[in-house]
Amino acid sequence: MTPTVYSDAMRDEAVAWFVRLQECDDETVWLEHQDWLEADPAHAAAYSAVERLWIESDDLPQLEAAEPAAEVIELSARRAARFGRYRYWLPAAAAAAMVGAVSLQFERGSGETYRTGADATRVVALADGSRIVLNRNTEVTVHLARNRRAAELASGEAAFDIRHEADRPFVVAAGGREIRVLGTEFDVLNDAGAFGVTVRRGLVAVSGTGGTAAARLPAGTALLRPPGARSDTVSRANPDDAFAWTHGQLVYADRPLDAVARDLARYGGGTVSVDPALRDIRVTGVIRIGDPATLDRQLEQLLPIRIERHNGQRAIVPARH
Amino acid sequence: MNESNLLLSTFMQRRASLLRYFAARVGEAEAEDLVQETWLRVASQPVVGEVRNPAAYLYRLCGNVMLDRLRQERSRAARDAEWRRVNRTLVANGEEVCEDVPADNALIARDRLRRIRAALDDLPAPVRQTFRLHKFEGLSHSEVAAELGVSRSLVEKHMMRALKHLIARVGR
Repeated sequence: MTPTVYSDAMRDEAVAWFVRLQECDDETVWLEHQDWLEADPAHAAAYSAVERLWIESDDLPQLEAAEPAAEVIELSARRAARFGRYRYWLPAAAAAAMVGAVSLQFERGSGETYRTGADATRVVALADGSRIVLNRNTEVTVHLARNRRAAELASGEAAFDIRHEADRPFVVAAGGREIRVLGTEFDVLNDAGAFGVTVRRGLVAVSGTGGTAAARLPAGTALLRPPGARSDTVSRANPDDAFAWTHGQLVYADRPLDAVARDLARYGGGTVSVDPALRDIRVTGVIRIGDPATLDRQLEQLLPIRIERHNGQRAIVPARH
Repeated sequence: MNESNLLLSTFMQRRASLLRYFAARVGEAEAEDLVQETWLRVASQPVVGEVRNPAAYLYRLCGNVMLDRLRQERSRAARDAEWRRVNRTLVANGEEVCEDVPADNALIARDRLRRIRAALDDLPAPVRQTFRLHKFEGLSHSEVAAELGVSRSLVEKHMMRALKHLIARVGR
């Protein structure tokens, strides 16, 4: 439809428009942009080329995680930055070492502990402007010091919206691992042996286990380690699903029934077992968080299963025909 | 009137202008769908942050709709490539059904990404850092400015310089 032939000058104009409009709060600038688009059909083609490059670069952090060759260059960038006011992300290997060196030190009695029970979530606004939403049955201790900020997720799940501060990194400790952030939004799960981090915004480094390198997670990715697994799975993820519980929903997109059972136990208390015959079931759907009986009923409507209760324990078994 | 109602009424007033924006970007045939998509976002998504100018906010939403449309096209292309790869494997014991195997999009994408990385490394450190902080660490232009202790307009200049260089080096 649009001609793909445009001059270098048009390309440069398109770049200038793209950058100007990214955070533009002025309608008149948008109207000028409209005039520019309509002045020559090649302008739209040039603008689309800038957008395509922008989208293509989304995957650069994944490439750098997979092919760390370029990180030598980042190290020198960091060295140069030491004299300026720049901060920089450490390359994976160095980050792992650093995580070991600055392991969390909670002074006894310092820090504030927040807890939730089985019946409600809780929003904690921190003095630095960051926000933590605690899921049910969760315990988090927060320690804000002059030169660093730290939180320990003892159990459960929490969504962190961390305010960016140049001189005070925020470190979250959970499940024997550490998650280093700048300014970002992410969800951490540390429950009954399952560990997971989902990043909505920014970039997060998660320390490895047993001497493995730290993983760098860009926005839109998740790191998961199910109970008993020996390695992490990093995949693209829709952050909205992982954060859904913060507005009272559980969203599953092709998840194993075991993961759903863990959520049932977390929200309803007690233990929840899964009949081996159901292990292969994958769950896609939305469940509204409520009391255990409501949760069970929704799940029974969604899946060919039945939930049996016995002495405070629940068992997910195949539905009767 | 709360902010989302204000946005909805602004949308109704500006509907024709937004349609004109999409028509200039992708042609009239697809423009109506994209206006509809924008409407759905206005109606269903919570407002993030303060809305200083509702009309400009809507235009920015249109810009995001365009970017997401490109993202979807890319992941669809990746899925198609994966399907072809898997299906080629299925016939690998016999002969390749098709002589001219379609170029592997994933390899091309990865090669272009390597070139983007190399091009980024050509740039002076402040330009490179500005680009990375904004693009990969999700800082706004003013947050990057505060981080690096420079003005917001310098951040925009650095962003323009980085993008001009990347697009010149990597091409279309």
